[in-house]
Amino acid sequence: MNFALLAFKKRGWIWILIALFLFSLPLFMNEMYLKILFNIAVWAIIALGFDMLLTKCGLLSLGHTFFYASGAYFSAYAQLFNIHLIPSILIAGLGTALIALPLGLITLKLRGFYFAMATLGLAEIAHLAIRAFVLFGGDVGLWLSSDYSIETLYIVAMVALCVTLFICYISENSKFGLKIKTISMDEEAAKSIGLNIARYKLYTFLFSTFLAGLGGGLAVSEHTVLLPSTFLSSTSSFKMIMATLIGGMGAIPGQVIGAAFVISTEAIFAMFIADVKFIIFGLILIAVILFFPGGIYGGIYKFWLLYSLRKSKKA
Amino acid sequence: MGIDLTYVGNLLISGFLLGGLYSLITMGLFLAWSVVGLIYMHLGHLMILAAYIAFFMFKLYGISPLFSFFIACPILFGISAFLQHALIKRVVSQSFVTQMVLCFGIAIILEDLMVLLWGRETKNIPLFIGESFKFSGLFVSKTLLIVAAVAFTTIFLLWLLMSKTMFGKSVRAVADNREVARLMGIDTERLYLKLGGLVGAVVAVAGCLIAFYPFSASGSGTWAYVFTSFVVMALGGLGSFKGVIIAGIALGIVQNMSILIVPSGFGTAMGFVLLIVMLLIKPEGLFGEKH
Repeated sequence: MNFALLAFKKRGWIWILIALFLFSLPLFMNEMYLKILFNIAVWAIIALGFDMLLTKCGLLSLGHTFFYASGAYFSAYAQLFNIHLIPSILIAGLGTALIALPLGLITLKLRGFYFAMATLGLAEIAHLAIRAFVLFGGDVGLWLSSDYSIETLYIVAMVALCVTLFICYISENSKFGLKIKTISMDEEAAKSIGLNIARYKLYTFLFSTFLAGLGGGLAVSEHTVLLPSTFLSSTSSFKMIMATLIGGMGAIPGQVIGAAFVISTEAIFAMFIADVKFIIFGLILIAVILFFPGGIYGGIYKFWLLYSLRKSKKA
Repeated sequence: MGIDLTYVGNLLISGFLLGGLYSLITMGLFLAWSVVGLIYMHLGHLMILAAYIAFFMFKLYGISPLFSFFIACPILFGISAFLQHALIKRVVSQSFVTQMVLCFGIAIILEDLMVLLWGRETKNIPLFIGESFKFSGLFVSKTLLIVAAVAFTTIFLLWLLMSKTMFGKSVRAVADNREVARLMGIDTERLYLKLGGLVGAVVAVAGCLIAFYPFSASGSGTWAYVFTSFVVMALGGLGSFKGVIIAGIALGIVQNMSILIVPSGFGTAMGFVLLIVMLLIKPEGLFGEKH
């Protein structure tokens, strides 16, 4: 699945051109479209983390929105204390990972259905707790006074996405990445060659929650209003699942494609059928998991394989 | 100062009765899990659908929720059997991620449909509010008593169905071993379809009872019900009928007693704590078998 890295070695200048193009977009692009691109970058970061937990550890987190929201709260408080944007989103990521540490120590003992339901419960409890405590703004939410222009936010999000993608590709073939791959393929075999499974699962979990927190911090800087009903709802968990499964489970480019699909269709729906958005999303998701289990990237990959096979046969 | 004994007694009794409701809510999830082998996460939303049916029956025609079973059960039986036949049948032998995401997707679709049709406001049936029975100093709310009576009756009927009829026997056979049951001549596909409907009907009864309390399709309430029923099932040991009833009652009592130490409204959190403690000490549950 690492053919993007191969492609980079072969035709690196194309990627550099794409990056330059993306970074120069704020110079001539409409604010509305920039906002959509910003959201795509944010959700791609979150989806990368979500997919890592899902495919490398085999853990489906139905309450990942909890970590997204916790990043949002960290970032919001940091900005209320007049901390600048970039440190505040780093605080969001690190703070979320810090919260995730004890939770991971407990919940990572669970597997499959148990883990999924435990995370679902966690998100619901957090929802109750946040609404109960006035400190977190309750139902009214937190209102940020900081007002960053969409251009700044876009550049920050793009840099964060590039760094995340870089780390993901590097770690795929590093010693650490290979160990995690071994665990994801066969836990018993990994245990028998002396890998500490619990520790590697915890590292992956922490990195995944760090990315979710980072995404939450970025998103709240753009929204400037932090409502528990938007940040802690099951629908944002659903958006992560959608981005990962529609893009293609287990493939790094698939996450970016999935995020782009989800956010752009959401933006299109917002114009005329905002109310039934999730009904249509749900139908799309069900169709994808029943008929195209590889997602969009899986489809492209299959097509590319067939194409190159035919070319090599001709030669 | 000591804790008032009658207060504790009240909490105990209402916890016991609430536990009956929890057991009933769990029955649908439990039956589906033990036979089909996957977590029907959309059952919470089907339950809320039944609650809406009961609510509108009461509001428009003045029918008591205790009689709207006869309307809600067939409707939910149909919907649930349709979902089973059209979607869930296809993922039974696939990975758990596919199964869970499918059920989650169905739940999200149902949630948005209900929000679209009936809005986000919480609704409830304003019947028997503030009425209670009194036995030698102990107060029991009338609503809770009715709810628990219906819940325990339904569980008893379900138990009769499972233990005395041919249908129940074949369900237990499939739950035990799918392949052997098929070899013995049980049509598993048909059984799944019937079971899917039955699960919907059980959930419909629970939904009509839920309608006495404030409910809403959107927000965290529905997921809290799903989570609570999973906790009850895991506590009882996955796949034990007796376990579900006892764990449900235990959870009801623990949640009610927790009012003494933590702020009210954190019942779900107590469920989470109980689940984690249970899984760390005795992972197979109260009545589960060790693997």
